[in-house]
Amino acid sequence: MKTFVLAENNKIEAFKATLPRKTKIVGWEAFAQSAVQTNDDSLWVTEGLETLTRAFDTLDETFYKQQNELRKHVKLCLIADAPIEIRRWLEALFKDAIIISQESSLPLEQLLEVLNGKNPERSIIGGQVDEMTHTVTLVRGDLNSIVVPLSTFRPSGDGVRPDFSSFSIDDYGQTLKFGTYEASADAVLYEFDSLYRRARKVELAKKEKGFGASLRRLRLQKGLRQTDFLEIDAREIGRIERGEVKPRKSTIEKIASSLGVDPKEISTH
Amino acid sequence: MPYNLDLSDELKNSGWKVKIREKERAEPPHVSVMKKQETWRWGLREQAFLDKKPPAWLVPKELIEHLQANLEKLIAEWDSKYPHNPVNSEGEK
Repeated sequence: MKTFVLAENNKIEAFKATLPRKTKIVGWEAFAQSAVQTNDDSLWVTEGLETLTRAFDTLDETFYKQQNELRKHVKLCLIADAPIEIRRWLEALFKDAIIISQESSLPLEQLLEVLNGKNPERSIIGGQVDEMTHTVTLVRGDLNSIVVPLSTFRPSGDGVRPDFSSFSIDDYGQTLKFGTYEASADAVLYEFDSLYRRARKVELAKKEKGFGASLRRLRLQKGLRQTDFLEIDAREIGRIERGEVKPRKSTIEKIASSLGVDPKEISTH
Repeated sequence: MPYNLDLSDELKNSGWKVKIREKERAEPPHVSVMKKQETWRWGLREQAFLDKKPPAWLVPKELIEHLQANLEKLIAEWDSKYPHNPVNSEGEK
């Protein structure tokens, strides 16, 4: 998918000086014509609500007559704190409209690297913490989203706690920051996206195969000890993890219950 | 805050970072070697890369030698952040 940066005409030169040389930067007036001239999907990135609202003035009836083409092929990523009216306008006009708040977005230069990279779905480009649902919704580089409970960001052993009122993304989408607390995007995706987990398990260099190794990884990710399992002796958990015994179905169900997962999920870790 | 291993100016200026963050994949213990959108997990028990991708040959030899030279410090930092899964215990038996 081709990616373009949308800019006001008087800012194109300034963008050229700061963004990677290969970046295609287009003015809003040219966008109206060029976005509909291709049959390939394209992604247009623009920064700032003021830029967008000033661009409204340049759009005439011709632009709105092309909206069928826009909805077929054109995706738009707006980095701004946009009100609901703007969101509706964008969602109605484009195939996909992703709106990311400026505070939590990757810097534009890093964002473009991720969008044009090999595995954009493995990076996080923005997101929003919602204290009401106790979740953070993360936008990935392939523009899909994933919802993650805040409870997964447990304090570290050295006492660093997440500050959910201060959320940002860093390291080209590889790090989520909650104040001084940092979480690996890989760890979060591995825990909450079964397809990502499957892909990463294939990439393990020295694969620890078997149910026991998967159980051990999941147990430690959840911060549990072998003694934390109800109705099962810690020595039994140790034997299962080392692959010395094959657990019965009823034992697996008890283990899954203590881990808070479906029994079938354990072996995917 | 995360642990950041101090690197030479040359490595830093090339965009390399080595981190242990508050939330990593807990097992096996590792440091994250990062450059742009790529991350390599370097195992503290294995002293080797844990994943086939991205390819290990992309990481400068100088950086890997620096990891090995600072192994004790890295282990101490991991153990401090992840006391339930320390490097040298190999977990509960």
